[in-house]
Amino acid sequence: MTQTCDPNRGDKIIVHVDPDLKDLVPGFLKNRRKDVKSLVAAVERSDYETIEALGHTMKGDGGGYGFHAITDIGGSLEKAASNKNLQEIRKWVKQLSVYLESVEIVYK
Amino acid sequence: MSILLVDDSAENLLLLQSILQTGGYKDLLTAESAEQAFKHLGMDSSGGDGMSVDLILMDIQMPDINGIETCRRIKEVERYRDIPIIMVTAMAQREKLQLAFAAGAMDYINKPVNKVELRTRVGSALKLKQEMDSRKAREQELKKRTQELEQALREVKVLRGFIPICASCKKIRNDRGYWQLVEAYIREHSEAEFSHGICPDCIKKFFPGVEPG
Repeated sequence: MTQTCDPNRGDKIIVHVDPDLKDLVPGFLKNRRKDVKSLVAAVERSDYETIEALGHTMKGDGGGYGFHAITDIGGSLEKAASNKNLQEIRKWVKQLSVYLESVEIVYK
Repeated sequence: MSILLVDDSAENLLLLQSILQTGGYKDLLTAESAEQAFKHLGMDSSGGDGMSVDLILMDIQMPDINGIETCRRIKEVERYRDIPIIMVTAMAQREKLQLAFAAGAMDYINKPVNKVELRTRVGSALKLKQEMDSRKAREQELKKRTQELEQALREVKVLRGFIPICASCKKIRNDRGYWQLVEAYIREHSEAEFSHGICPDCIKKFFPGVEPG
């Protein structure tokens, strides 16, 4: 996997993904966009359990698909939820949202 | 050979399936919970026979029954005792690996999964299972042969121990207390057969005019 550019500047993030996973990646990213909505709702409810579970799953699954940034964000969300740190959680949800908007896949 | 994948993340199951299928492993079963895994293995209340499985890949962190407990319960079942279980774990869960090994796991793979590592570990585990299966088959064959040999030995007739024999007529008292001709007794207690003739001393005694040949 290769990432370039700064998503905060509106640049695209190029991620190189195994062509064997071509059929699975669109569904994976679609589900992460759903996760963003679920996370925002969970933040509103201060539902740390849901946030921790979603973070844990992202941490486990992201890198396997080639999205190591999702693994890192998931791990940070899991940790922030475990510490009940809403400020940190909001920061990482925002990061995830920006990442998903900026990511561009190259199957290689 | 058949592989059972157990993970509460449907996306991780899809990923594992994809990596293993493109690696040539076509016979894959999936379960999103311990209960589903037990059902596949015939360990649920339905009392089914269960499917034949050669390897299990198990996520550690699952809701309800976690991977370690699932592994322990599977290993309690005699017919699954020799099935290798590989735990799939995030780096932060490494402290749980000791518990997993104590529960019967044979190896672990880190999450996020790396396809080379996954295929290599699965290949090694299946090879080990194959060797264990053929060793068990050889042991079974050996056991069967030993039983056959023991049975054959029991059927072999042998003469041993003290045999009560009449000092005069040379009849033998058999197990039922009857006096039997020596050749009848030997025929009954061995595989020997008799061919009858007359020895030179008896020829002299009973046929004094006949010259021994």
